Amino acid sequence: MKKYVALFLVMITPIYSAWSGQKNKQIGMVSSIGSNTGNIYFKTTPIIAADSSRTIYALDNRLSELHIINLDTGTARTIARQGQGPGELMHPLFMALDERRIYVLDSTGISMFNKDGLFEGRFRVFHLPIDLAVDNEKIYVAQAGSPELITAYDLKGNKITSFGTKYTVDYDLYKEWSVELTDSVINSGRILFSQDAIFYVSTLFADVFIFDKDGRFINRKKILPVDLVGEIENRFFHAGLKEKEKGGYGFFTDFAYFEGSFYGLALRKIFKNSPGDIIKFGGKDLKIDETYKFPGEEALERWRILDFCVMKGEKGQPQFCLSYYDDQLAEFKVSIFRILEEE
Amino acid sequence: MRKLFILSCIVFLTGIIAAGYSRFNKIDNYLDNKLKIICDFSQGRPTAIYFVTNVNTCCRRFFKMKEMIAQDAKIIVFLEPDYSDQDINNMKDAFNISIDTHLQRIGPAAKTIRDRCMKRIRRFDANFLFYFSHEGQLLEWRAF
Repeated sequence: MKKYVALFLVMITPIYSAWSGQKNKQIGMVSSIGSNTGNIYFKTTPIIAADSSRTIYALDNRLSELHIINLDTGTARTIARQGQGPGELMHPLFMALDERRIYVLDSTGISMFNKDGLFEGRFRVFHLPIDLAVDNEKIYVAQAGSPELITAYDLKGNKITSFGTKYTVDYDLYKEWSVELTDSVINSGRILFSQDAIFYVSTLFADVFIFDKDGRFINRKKILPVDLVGEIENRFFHAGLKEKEKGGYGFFTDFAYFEGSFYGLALRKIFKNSPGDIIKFGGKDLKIDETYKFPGEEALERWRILDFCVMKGEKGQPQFCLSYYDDQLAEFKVSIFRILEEE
Repeated sequence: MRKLFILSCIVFLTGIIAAGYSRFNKIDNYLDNKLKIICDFSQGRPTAIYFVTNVNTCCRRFFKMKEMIAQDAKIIVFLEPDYSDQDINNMKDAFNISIDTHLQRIGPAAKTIRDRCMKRIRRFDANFLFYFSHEGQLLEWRAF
């Protein structure tokens, strides 16, 4: 009898694997940047981005400084300082990179620096920002309080176009909040680009809105099943969220696009039923390709993760970069992880 | 007796000087005098004068801007000198500022007034609103 059961299990395993279409892989920490690394000191959990030269850009909101760290050479430097003058930053919130420049959105506007750290210009934006992204020398800002979700500017601040329909919500459910704040929370997400499309990924509801490069709407896809995100939709659209209420989380903490695939950070410590801590989606079909899990549940429990990005690893494999506050060490850190093996 | 007389004289003179200084230094009077000239161009409408260092829709709102538009006030906005034409356009777009609203970069005269107000409230990055009645009386001024 035992033999038959074992045989049945052996047979059913590949069937299950094919059905789920997922491979669980472990990821391990490669290195960390924090208060004990070089001369870098973060006063808060930094906003991070990485480019193809394996350089990490870490933006400190409280010190209003931008740290540039090259992982291969180990060199680090700091640009910008607190202030409202040219080249100065005041509580920066978002950062975007392209091949030539670093773009930072702070409480004044959008400042542009070249990769050497020299200030190149600034223009002001006045809506409450949700996200900042750059593609082909066009600056895209997702913003609350404006009729359309995304506004594109040129480098001088001229508005090129605006597009994207926002989620609508019953504002009576959010009486304690301003309309702009409600708008920004409901529409939380990331602007991402492929070669020929613009994506807006709702980190709350796992919806992907696809636009062509002129901002014309093409399609909308839900990338996770309703049983994973239905409760979140119900909470935000029907129950409403109070100001100091816990549990106001979107399914994804953050989302990134890297070399034709999407990567969503969906922590199992927040959503127990998440298939992994990081989920990889195919760039074309937006279906789950792989899932990754952080090692050690304990460590994950004590990390308060803010930001996430993907960059090229040493052997061309993706590496994940995470910024977080470590409760136990009482440190703000940036750590780099690589994919280890299948579980 | 003589000492008492001298003492009372000193007290009296000090009082007069203090009252005079207080009157001279009262910011409302200062503003009233300085900004009334601008209000004369409002042609019988209430006037709202803004000094803007930094506003946004998140944490530093354009205080009472909608209310001022609703009251058909003549709105004059003095902006930081480094506001570009594009910044001004983006601001108009974001706050639905009407064509009637006058936006301009701050000049030396207006800057003197603003600096004095900043000194008074001991903040270097404050925005200000001065609201005058249609008769040119200063009804309200505040930092935001």
